[in-house]
Amino acid sequence: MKIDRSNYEAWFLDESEGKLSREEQETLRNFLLLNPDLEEEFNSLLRIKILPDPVKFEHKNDLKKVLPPEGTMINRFNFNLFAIAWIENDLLPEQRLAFEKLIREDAFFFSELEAMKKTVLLPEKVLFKGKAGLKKKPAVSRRIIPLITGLSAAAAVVLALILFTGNGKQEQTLPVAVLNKEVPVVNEKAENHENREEVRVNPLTIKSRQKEQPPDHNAPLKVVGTNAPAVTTDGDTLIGFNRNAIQIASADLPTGTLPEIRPVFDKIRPVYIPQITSYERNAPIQLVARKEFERLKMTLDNTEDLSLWDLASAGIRGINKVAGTDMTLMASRNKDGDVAGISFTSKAFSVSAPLGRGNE
Amino acid sequence: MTIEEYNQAVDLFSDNLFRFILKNIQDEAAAEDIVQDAFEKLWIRLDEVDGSKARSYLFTTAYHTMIDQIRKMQRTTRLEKQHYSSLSHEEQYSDLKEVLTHALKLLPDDQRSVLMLRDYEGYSYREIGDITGLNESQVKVYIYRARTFLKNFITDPEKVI
Repeated sequence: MKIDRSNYEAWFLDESEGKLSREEQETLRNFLLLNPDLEEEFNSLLRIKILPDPVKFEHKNDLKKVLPPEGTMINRFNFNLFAIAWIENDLLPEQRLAFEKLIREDAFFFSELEAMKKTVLLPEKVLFKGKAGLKKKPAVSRRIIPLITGLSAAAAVVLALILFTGNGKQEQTLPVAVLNKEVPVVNEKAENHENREEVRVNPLTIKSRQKEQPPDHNAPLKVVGTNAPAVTTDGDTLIGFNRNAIQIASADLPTGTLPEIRPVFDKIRPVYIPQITSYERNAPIQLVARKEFERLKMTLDNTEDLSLWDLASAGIRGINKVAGTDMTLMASRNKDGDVAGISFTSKAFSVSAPLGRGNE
Repeated sequence: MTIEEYNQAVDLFSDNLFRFILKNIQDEAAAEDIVQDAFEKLWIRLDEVDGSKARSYLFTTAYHTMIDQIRKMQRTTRLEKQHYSSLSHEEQYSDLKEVLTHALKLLPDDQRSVLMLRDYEGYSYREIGDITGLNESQVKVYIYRARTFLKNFITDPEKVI
């Protein structure tokens, strides 16, 4: 900052406080030579510099409180003060000794102290009933486990619904196929994701299931073996399927059994239910669960009926995430746009079946 | 502060906190609300409150909530007068505990709170000052006044059988 008549006061002040550098002091001196009328003002500012003067408050100790004040004699008028200080352990050692001596020697003060001792409140046992309600559980336990349970339950229920209602043949054990590693996957298109479509486009709803549709008695059940069958004994594993259960047994069936099962994959256009992505597999379960619920919420917002497929999708994805399984559920639609068949695939086995409407 | 420390604080301090509030305001439902409110505030500030300070935080929070509530009920000014007038009442008590319980109710709010924090919870003058917002001298004065009042009350022969 260049010194001039508009700012010289700041320079004077800095000089009086010793803040100017040697160069600035030289600049200030030159300025004063050029402006001699300001020299007196400059000198007066230097003279009025205030030096710190150590002032002490001499009665500091008097302000400090000792209960009771040191050197006070105990008498009837200040006894309560001493008695309370004794209870509160506030007495100086010599005061305590003097006080206790007095108590021992004077019956009146002894009884007064006994009365004062009774003012000490003894803690009562009071129980707070709402203690359990105050406790918190870790967030994962509080929020996620019910979601996981819900998802799993949804998947189980929906799968059961689909499987149990998916065949028109009642009380009859459906055709059984040999689960064999050499049984080819019939539908190559099933592996082609481009041909898959979102089931949400036309969800299977409770309402739609009430439609009349002639049952297809010739609809076959196809059981396709995979590279990792759940149960193997002597190379062949049977999977039987009826309305009540999936039966797994072991038997030797003649090879001729296979042609009796007519593949239907050529009629089924698989419906794509997205798998757990590698990102989701590493993501927290909270994120996956939240996404699934958002997806369900969208479905509920957009349709009047609850889509079983969406529930099943969410459930299966939840199970995949939690259990590390790799299950998929796909469905095909007929020319009317209704879901006509399903295909369930896991590492252990695959099942495809038409969806009958029941002929009873 | 961790969730475990929070839950431990519930186990360790909720009873005492409830007793402190209940003895002050004599209203079980209101005392429960204040305790729950204090723990809820602690839960909200879980990351900010050190586990070792939880007790102090709870008592401070609950104390101020209680004072606010008492002020709302417009009880504060009334009790100071009430306790002097009550000295002449004719009630009789069967034991010291009853006398003290009654006498405690007659204390002004500040004195009662300070005395209970001292006797029930064993807080130091400074800690009581931190909780109540009083300085240490005020705390000492309130304790002195409270004990003097209690002593006078219980030594009156007309009040104890």
